[in-house]
Amino acid sequence: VLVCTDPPQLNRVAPLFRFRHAHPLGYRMLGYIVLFSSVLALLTTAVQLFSDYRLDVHAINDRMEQIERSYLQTIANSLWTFDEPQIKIQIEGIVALPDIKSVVVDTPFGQRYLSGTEPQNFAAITRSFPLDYNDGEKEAHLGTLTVSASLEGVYQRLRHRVFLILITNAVKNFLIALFILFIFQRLVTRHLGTMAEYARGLDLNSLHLPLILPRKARGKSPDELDQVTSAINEMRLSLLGGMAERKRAEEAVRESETRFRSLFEQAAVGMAQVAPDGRFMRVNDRLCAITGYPREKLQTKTYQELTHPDDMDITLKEARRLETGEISQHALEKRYLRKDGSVVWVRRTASTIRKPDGTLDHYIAVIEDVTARKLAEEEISKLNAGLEQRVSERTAQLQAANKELETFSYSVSHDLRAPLRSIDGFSRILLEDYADKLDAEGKHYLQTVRRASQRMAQLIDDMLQLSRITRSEMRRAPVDLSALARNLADEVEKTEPERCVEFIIEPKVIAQADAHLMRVVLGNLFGNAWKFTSQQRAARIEFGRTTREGAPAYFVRDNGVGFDMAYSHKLFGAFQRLHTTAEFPGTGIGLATVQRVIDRHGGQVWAESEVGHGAAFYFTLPTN
Amino acid sequence: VKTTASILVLPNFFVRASHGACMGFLAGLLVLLGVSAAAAAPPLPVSEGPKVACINPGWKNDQFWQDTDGAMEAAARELGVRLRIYEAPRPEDVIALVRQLADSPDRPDYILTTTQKGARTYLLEATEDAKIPTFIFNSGLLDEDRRRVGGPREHFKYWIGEMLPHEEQAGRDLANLLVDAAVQAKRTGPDGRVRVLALGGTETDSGAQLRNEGLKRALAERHDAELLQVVNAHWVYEEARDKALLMFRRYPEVDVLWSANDRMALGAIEAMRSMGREPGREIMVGGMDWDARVLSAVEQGKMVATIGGQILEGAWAMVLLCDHYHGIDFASERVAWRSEMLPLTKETAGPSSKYLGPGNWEKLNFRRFSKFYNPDLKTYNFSIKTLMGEPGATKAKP
Repeated sequence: VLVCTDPPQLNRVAPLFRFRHAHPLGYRMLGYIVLFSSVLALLTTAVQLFSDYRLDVHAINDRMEQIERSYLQTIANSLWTFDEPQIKIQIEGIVALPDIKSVVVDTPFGQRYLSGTEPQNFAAITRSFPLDYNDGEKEAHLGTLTVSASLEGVYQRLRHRVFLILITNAVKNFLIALFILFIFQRLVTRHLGTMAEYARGLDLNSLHLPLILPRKARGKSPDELDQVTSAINEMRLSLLGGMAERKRAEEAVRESETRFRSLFEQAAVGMAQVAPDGRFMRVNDRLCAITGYPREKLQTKTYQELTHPDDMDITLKEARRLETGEISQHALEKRYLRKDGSVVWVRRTASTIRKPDGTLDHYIAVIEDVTARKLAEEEISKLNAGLEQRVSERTAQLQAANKELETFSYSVSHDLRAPLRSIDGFSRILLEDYADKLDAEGKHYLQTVRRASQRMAQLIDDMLQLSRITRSEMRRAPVDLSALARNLADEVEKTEPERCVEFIIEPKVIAQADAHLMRVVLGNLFGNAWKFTSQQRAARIEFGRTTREGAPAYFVRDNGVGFDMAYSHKLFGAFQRLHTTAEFPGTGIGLATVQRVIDRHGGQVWAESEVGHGAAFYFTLPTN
Repeated sequence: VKTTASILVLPNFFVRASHGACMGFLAGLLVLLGVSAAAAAPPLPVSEGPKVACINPGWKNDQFWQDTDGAMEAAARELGVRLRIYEAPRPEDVIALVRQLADSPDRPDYILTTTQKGARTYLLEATEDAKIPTFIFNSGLLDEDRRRVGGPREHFKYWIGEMLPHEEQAGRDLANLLVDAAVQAKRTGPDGRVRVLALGGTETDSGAQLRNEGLKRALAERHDAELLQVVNAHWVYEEARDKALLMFRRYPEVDVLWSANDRMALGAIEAMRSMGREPGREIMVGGMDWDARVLSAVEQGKMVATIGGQILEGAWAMVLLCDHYHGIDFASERVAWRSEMLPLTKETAGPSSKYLGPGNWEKLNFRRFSKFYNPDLKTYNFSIKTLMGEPGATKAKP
């Protein structure tokens, strides 16, 4: 309206309009600052004026009190002595005080001394003071001093202050607003313009040009503009990077598509994209070869048409599970009917490709011709059936042989033991009943016979034990080897109580094994240790558990005579001995029995030793 | 005969030079004309006496000082004293005048002055510096100054003497006269006590203070009177009139008005008249100073009495200085003299009035009190009764 109707006014406000259009933000900021500071100035002025008014009124009241303190007694004294000039001087002195407009002294005798104007002519604060005289002897009420102060001076000063404060505040606010605007323009607005200009000119070709504001670098403390500039430049770089990335991704997609296509087309297995209704959307050459259909023909068919009727149910069932999302992929070996009517076994692996809304888009199917493998499997099945038959026959033969061997062993042991008992018995009788008829040599021979026969009996016993162990039924259960070892240690100690042997038995060693057989193993090993430490003054036998190759291993260790490791391979052979019977008695069956038992448990047994430094026997007991 | 001349070198002061013996020539002329006193002893010829400068407060319109000057001038003429009267209204004027006199070709032999108006000891210091013998009359040092410097010829060697009225006694006497008159007239309060109001002079004047003390002492001694209030009116008629008006309003029951001088008493009487109250009947009024204007009021019974006589102090001082000049030092009797103050009542006011006032002083014979002129006189007897009443007190009519 101004522009159209009032050219002179237009001229006056034109700079403002120009500024408003050029700097709408600054214009609004200027307006808000001026508005806010004006409201603030008005509020503070009101508060200040109210405070000033109270102070002024307070000052008048103070002045009244000062008058009471300073003048009242003097006036009373002057009144007492009728010293009118002094009274006048005093009340004129009071009237000369600021804001005091009227002072009246009234006496009971009708005297009236007035200084200033009549009190009723102005709005005033009026105070009356009694004028009393008291000199200690005489006391009298002499009159009343009435002092009236005009508020006109207070109002005048307030008006003056209002004017002054408002003018100064208006000027101050305007100048501050201009200054802030200038600063804002200098610090922000012009840079915003630069940014806007930059943003307008930004395109794909100019993305490499950074946004630079015409201002000093802020160093380590970037401000908001620096941050915005930095963000814009980061965005620009990000766009540049994004574009490069996108280009690379597109190339990668193209390359991937090429690879996929070649993979699809040249795969050694058949591949197809299958529509949800089963139609082959896309097939590769290999699938065409498997099915015998040319590509164009095959892409008009559904997988249901190719599926062997016997495999249709399972195929449809699996397809439903795929379609409903119950499974994401599945593999199925099934039969296709080739174009020529022949059957081909295929292993079909299918997975689903879904649309963004979750509905099925198509299947990906990989079809492998497994007809050859199927045929081979059938052949293997046939061969396996023959093999099992042979194993059964051989097992029966072996069982019969074992039975015979067992019978033989039993009879040998029993049949051999009877004459041995006779030999030993009669030899003993000879030695006991015919000792006087035998010379020393004869007795020696007889004793030799006895020892030989007893040794043979022992050999037979050991062999029978070995035999039993081989054949006895094995029951695995948790066995407290520590308790077993302690029990066995007690037993061997009883055989030679006079020996001083230290047993060190690790507690709570539990193993999954046959308790009876474990007793045989530990009994043999403790017996050996006891035997081979007989020459040791401070013998020590240990039982414990250790770890070998990650598995638990159990050991029996002694500090006895030990043996030469060069002969360790003979240790566990039946009737193999590394010492003479004279040195250490024995049959050589013990360690063989140990090995047999550990073998039956599927474990291993071995020994470590050095001559004169004791020996250690280890064994393992696999849990299954 | 009064001669008045100006002293050109002392322009700031109004000078009345009364060459009481201008010198012996005039006195001799008077003798030849048969105006000299018809004393009992054969009169001695008038000798050339000392040059005396009298400095008084200069209240030209004050009847008291007019009377004092008149009596003094009459005595000077008779004694051959070359008297000049200077008026200096302020203490500093007095001091300046003393310094000028000391350096002037007409340097006086004596200075006669009063310490009225708070001149305190500055005047005596000035005359001491000027080495001019000084005699104080009418109003002396305040008590505090007197305690400090003592009396004449003590601290100040040139302060040769003083003659002061019995101010306190006068105040006391006036109070007693007034209360007695009120009692006699049955003007008392319900309790039978006479209610007294007082108009005081200037509170800084020793005379005013002493008169007030006399008043208070008298009333303290009596049980039939009470002092309502003392109001200072500064010896001034108008002020006394205005204040009396207010006093009578504040104390309508007043029986006695005691005034420290006659002028203030006249002001109070004026106030009474304006209020329709009758002085002498309703309120007993009394004053001091023997003001010629109140004598008629005393005679008419409007005033009970006026106490005075100190107006003769100047004349008595002329006698002492004259003798001192001629080698007869009054210190043989005393240096501090007290003048007699007597009441003039309705009965005595009339006869006395013929000696008081302008033109009447010359009737009195002052030479008879001088040891110089009366070699047989052994002691001074400055008696008013002797002066006025006894044979030879007055001069023979020409």
